[in-house]
Amino acid sequence: MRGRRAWYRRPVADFDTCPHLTCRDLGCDRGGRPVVRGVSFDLPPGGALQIFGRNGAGKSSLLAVLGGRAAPTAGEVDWTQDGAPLARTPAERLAVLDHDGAVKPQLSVDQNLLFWKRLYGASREACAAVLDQVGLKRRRAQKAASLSAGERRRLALARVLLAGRPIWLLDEPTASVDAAGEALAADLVNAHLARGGSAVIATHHRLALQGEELTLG
Amino acid sequence: MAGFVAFAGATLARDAAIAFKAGGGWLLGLVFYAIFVTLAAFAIGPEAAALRPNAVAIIWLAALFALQFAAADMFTADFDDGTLKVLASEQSSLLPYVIGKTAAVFLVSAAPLILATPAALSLFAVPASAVWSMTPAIAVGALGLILAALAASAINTALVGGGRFAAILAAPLSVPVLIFGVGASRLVLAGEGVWTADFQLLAASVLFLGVAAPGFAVLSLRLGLE
Repeated sequence: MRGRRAWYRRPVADFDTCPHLTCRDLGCDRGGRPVVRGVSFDLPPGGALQIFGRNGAGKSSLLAVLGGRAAPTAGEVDWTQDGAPLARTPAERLAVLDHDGAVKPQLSVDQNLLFWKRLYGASREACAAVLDQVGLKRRRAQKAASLSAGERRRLALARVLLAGRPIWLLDEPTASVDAAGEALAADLVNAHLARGGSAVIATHHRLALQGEELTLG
Repeated sequence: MAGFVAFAGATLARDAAIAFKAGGGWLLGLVFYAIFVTLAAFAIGPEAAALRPNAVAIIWLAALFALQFAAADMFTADFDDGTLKVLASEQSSLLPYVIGKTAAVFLVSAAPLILATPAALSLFAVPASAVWSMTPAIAVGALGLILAALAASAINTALVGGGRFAAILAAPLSVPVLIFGVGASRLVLAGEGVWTADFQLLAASVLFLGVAAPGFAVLSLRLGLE
């Protein structure tokens, strides 16, 4: 399912109405090459799915399909809300962590979050709180270019937290982070699930959390 | 509507911050414009009789190249660092983003260029009375040139590895703006005033680009992200 998008919809950050995701016999290509075939899973509110696989197995391509950025070549992606099917991917309820992080190296940590704060309608206090949660409170004035790769990943995670949205699609949330960073990512996802949110995580490192697992390739 | 404006405004504010505070990217288009105009004036020579007839064509060509230079890569950074992928998944439409980017390029690159145009025209011995009357045509035309570059830049981003293909693509889209802009400016120089048929045609072509280019850019970006 990849419904037509309305010209613009306001973001909805309501965990009580977290949509239910069901995929059946899903397939997708990358650059004309089939990478994912026959994938089926069910992700209820509060559920998590960790996707494993070697490089090029199609983890990111699968996340692109779930995020509505790419169309599946086979099978179906169904989003339902209280049993009723949604006509389109619920973009305004997704928080996406891309492999590249969406961090501007020229801007400070604060300035990076400022853009997303305006976009998500978040408060200044919320920005400070998420930076505290990911351990970047003391780096607020520092340019992102001078952060380590692991710290930039933490900044990207701070943006996902700031979004306050119920469905997380995370691509390699622990790439370049140390053991403490991996534990932090697992804690953040577990807290998100406890609030009633759901998460799909493509990763090479198994996170310590309850949920389904899927191995591609 | 508030969400739409907030999204466009956030994009404008972020791009302006990057250009003005981090790296001084806003200067590049203006410096290119100043160098082009100055070199052209030197090449033509010191006689006012030779400079004045060429003023309008030189100024418009300089504006066209400077704005294409400034706008050709307007989506590249967001594509490379993953911002576009996040926005394409999390937002129901990229239209506010594209409008915000256009506004940012106008503020950062076109506005300094418009402000510098009276000085550039004075290099070509254009009478002071005509200098300020020409500014509305340059301002409207600058918006049209940015919109043409917007569509071309989106295609360039969609075709990963397209290199400087955008500059070639933007050229034909810029032709109506260039023809009517030069025409409107020449009529100002001839004492016909600002609100001429050429100015109206310039405004109409910019209006057309304003309606078509953002939607076209959104479509191109979505296709490029698949």
